[in-house]
This record gives sequence, structure tokens and C-alpha cells, in this order.
Amino acid sequence: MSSGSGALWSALIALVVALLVVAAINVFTRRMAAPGSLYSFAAQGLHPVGAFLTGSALLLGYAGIAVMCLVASAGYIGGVIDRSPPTGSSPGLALVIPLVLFMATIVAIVVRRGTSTTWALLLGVEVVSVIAVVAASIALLTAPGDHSSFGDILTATPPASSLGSAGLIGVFAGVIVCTSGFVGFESGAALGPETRRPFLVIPRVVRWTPIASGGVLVLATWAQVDGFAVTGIDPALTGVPMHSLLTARGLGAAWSIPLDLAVGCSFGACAIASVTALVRLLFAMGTEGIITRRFAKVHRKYRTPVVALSTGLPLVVSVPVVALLLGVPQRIVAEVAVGTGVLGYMVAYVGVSLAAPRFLRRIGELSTASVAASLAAGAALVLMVTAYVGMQMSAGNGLAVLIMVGVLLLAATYLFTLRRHRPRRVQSIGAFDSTSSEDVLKTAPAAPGASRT
Amino acid sequence: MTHWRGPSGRPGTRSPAIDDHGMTGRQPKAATTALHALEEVARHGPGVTAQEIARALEVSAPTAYRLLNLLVAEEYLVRLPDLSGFALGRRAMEFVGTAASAAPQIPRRAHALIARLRSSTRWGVHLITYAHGHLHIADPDPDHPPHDDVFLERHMDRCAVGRLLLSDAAVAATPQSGPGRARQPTYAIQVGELERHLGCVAVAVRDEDGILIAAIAISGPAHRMADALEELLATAAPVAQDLADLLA
Repeated sequence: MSSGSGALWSALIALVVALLVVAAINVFTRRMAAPGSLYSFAAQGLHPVGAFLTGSALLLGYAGIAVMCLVASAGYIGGVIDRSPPTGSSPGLALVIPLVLFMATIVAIVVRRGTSTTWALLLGVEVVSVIAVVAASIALLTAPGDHSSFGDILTATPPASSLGSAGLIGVFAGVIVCTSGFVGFESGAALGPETRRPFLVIPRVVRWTPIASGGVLVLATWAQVDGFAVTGIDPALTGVPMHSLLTARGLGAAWSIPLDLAVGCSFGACAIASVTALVRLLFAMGTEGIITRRFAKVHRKYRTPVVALSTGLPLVVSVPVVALLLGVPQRIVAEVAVGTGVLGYMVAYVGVSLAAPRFLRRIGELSTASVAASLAAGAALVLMVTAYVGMQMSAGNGLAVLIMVGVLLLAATYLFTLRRHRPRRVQSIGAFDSTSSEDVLKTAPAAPGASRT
Repeated sequence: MTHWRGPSGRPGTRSPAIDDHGMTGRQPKAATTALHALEEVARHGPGVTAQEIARALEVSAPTAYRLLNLLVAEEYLVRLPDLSGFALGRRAMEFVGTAASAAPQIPRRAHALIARLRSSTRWGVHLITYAHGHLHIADPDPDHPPHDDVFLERHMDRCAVGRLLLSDAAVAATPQSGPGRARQPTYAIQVGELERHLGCVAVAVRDEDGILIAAIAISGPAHRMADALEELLATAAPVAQDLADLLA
């Protein structure tokens, strides 16, 4: 978020790309509800191999972001508990690892119960954290000093010195960084089959999530760009821009604790959301028999995919814990996790963007507008994935790219092997909660309850 | 748009009480088109595609797609499993259907049989009828009010009467001959799935062709279900037999 004055442009462009992806995703959410979300959607328009690669990329996306959120949440909350390390550096391992495990336990409890009370609680946490960030931004923007308006920043030519990456490349890099703040906005789609009016509610959720989070992102970016200009702090020299800015404006002590706590809890909520979607994707793949059918088992009372949870979550948690124990710095763990996660999401978004027009053609509902939006989204994403890979490689963060490529290769190999031995299972990719005869008025030919058993 | 003339006589000010934006622009046309679309689906029967509806309504394809997606979102229409075909949905049924899909009349003697069963046990006893894959509560126990049928249909796989219907349908879907043929279920049970402390057993009532036409649902405390099951089935079986003759 610090590509100089172009940062604001980056945030706005990222929002537009996100909305194009929303258009492609909502082609599906208006027509079907599936716990496998993008994976099941891609299966409607792509070859089973394409769908499975989309699904694998999405799994990696959920897992990467979940790992990052667990580590970040432990880091922020740890920073509130132990205020001895200087601002911007991480608290000790003796504090962080128990906190990661503690957050993982909360994730497990919430995802296992999956009741509306827990969702209401999550929403509360998010509202509080958003209010904290918005309040901090407003505090920065209204602090005494010579402020620049929104329009001024958009039209200003970036100073050549800002991070050395000013101009178009800087804006482009910024778009990718901002997009990484949006990924996961489609997670609500995984809850379609559990929603009362999915074709009404889910498209709305998917559309408004990036708009709302984009609004906060644009506001926070504005506050920071303005703050850097007013205070003269070099954005390249601080890892925690909000903190440095608040401290420079004499607001540090009062703001930093509630801000850290809110952000820490918000990362926890994000981990819950990622794991919720992750286990539903495993559940969907299990139901189809693409992976072990054990994942299709649900809790007797809560009807949540507990087997997928009890297998998936320990895997997700073990990655950062082992890495931290091996002495990898927290910042690196979080960076590789977020890199892998963002790549995973972007590849999955490419899959669903390509699938949308083909799906529409298959069901005979092709329209020019939807094709244009899907193609624009697909093109922008392919460009961004390429650039992101380039950026990660040149930043010496090749591990994320390596993981992504490795997982995709593994997934392709697995599917081809499966197709040789169990061709019928591969055919079943893309099952979803279809209309059963109870939903259809009685003019329908009787096929009672076929899909609800 | 109509301009409401306020008490002051100034044109263009509208009463705040009725400020719901009225029905403006092309909305009346859209509302009519939506109703025509429903009519078109009803006339064609399940499986009609968006393009066919667009042609029949003489509207552009994108308009038809938007309209149909709206009707699907509101559950007046549903998409069939191939996702290209449409059929009337549950909410359309609510306003056209109450007359057309009226529950079959239950003979007075059937009510009498259920009443006698009720007086012989402390458990709740309900009579449920099945038709076209739907269930209908024909005689709810007034002392143990059951969930309504819409709720039960929404939780088909968790209530005993729904499970009976589903397992019956599953058997009907398998090949009709061969040594491995599954037997038609005679009852289905649920313990603590809908309400933690309640359980229910649904005993099948079949006509002479073996078609599932009704169920006697017996509900009571979940913790007593396992012990009482055998006795409940024994009590209900002869009543189910008598009901079969009355309801067939």
C-alpha cells in the first residue's frame, strides 16, 4: 500500500478488477448454490481437469490466507500483551506459538458449531475492527496540518523518489498489493446451500463485500498517502505505516492498543472465514468422491463438515507452527503464506472467469455484457498473475510461486491417475445442491427427493 | 410519475407518508412481463429455457435473463438440475397452489382411528399424508403440536416423516428386480435431530400397490425412544393397516 501517490489509483483500479471478477462469479451464484463455490462453478464451464485445478488453487488460496491470518492475528494480539519489543517488530515465539494454537482452537470451535450466533459474533468483531481503522484514518485526515484532498492526490504526479517505483509500474505493483486485500470476497458463495434464499442473498454478499472493503481500503490509503505527505515520513522506512503516522501526529499511545487489538481480532475472524470455506470445499470434493469420501461426513447435530475440519485445520495450523519452530521469522512465514494464498485465489478467479461464458453458452443464456466482463476479468487476472509471479521471484519470494506450481502439478497428476483408474469419479466433478422435486410445483415429472438424501 | 399536490398547493412535493417512489417509468411494464414469464413457464411445463421464454414474451434475451434470474432469486421459479430449464417454484405454488394442491380429504373414520391411538398412548400422534413428493400434516396432535409442513420439508433429511419419504424414494429409484433389491422401509426414526429432547418415529402407510401414501408419526422424549420403539411399532402397525384401506 505504499507505491507513493499512485497508491490511491492502485486501490481504485484493484476495486474495478474485483468488480469484474464479481460479475463472472455472480453468473453462477444467481443460478446455482454449491459448497465447493468456485470449484463447482468452474466445473459447469470447464473440462474436469480445469475445474479440479481451479479447486486446488482455491484450496491453496483458503489455506494460505488462513495461515497468514493465524500468524498475523497472533502477532498483533501478542504485541498488545507484551509491549516490550519496539513498534513494528514481532513478539517472541514463546508468546506467538501458543497464541496461534489458541486462535486455531477458537477457529475450530466456531466452524464446528456454525450457528447464526457465532456468525453474528464474527460480524460484530469485523464491524469493530473496521470502525477502528476508519476512525484512525479519519483521525489522521482531520489532524491539524495542510491536507491534500482526494482529487489532489489522484491528479498529483508522484515524486520520483517515492520507493523508486513511481509511475505506472508502481501503480501496477500497487494494484496487485491492493488486490491481495480483496481476495476471498467470494467466500460467502460456499455457504449458498446453507442460505435461505441463496440466489438473492449470495450475489448481494459477493457484490458488496469488495465494495465495502474497497471503500475502507481507499479511505485508509488516502489517510496514509496524505499522512506521509504532511509528516514527511518516508513510506519505505516504516513497516507499520498507520502506527508511525499516528505516533508522528501525537496520537500513537491512545490509538495503537485498540487498533492492534481490533486488527488482531479481525485477522482471527478472517481465519475463521477462510477455514469455513476451506472445509466446505473439501466437503464438496469428498461428496463427489474426487478425494476421500470421509470428508463428506457432517456433524450429527450441527450439520457441519467436521471430518474435513478435523483433517484440514491441523494441516493448516501445523505449517506456521513448524516453520516458526524451525526459526523462520514471522514476517517471512506471513509473506510466503499471503503470496501463496493470493496466487491461489487469482488462479481460481482466472478459472471461474473462463468458465462463466462457456457455462452461459451451454445453458443458452449468453449475453454480450457478461462475456465482455468475464473476458476483461480473465485478461486482467492473467496479466496480474504473471506480474505477481515476476514480483515475487524478483523479491526473492520464489517459494510461494514454487508451492503454487507444485500444487497445480500434483493436482493434475492426481486427476489423470484417478481418471485412469476411476473414470466415473472424474465425471462426477461439479455436483451441486440442485433443485429437488419438493421445490418444484407439481407439474414436474415425479423424481422425489433424489438430491436431498 | 404522478405529482402529489400538497396543502400549500405547490406542485411536485409528495406526501412523506406515501413516499415509496411509486411505480415509475417502465416498472408497470416490468411487473406485467414478470407475470407473463410465470404464465409462460406454467404453460410450457418444467424444462422451458430462457430463450424460449424470451421469444414467447417478445423481449430481448438479456431482459429475459435478468427477469428470470430475479424470479429465481425470489423463488417464484426454480432452475432444473441442468440449469437451463425452468419450473414453477415453491412461492408460485403458494398463490396458485392452495386450491390445486389442496390436501386430499381424510375420511372421518381415519381421524377416529388416530384419535383412538392417541388415547392409548402418552406420546404425540400425528397423521401425515404424502403426494407427489410433498408431505402434508393431515391430523396434528393438538396436545403435542408438530412443526409445520413447510419446516419439515425444508429439513426432509432430519425429520422422521421426511426420512421415510426419502428412503422410500431411494428404494423406488433402484432396479425393481434382482436378489439385492432393497426392501421398502416400514418406518423411519429420528432422535434429537430437530429438537434436542424430542424424537419421532414415522410408520409407513402403503396402499395395495405398496405406494407410500401416509405415515403415522409418533413423537416423544428422545431418551425414551430407543426403549419404546418396539412397543410403538407394534401399536402403530395395525392402525397403519386399517388406515391403508381408508386412505387408498
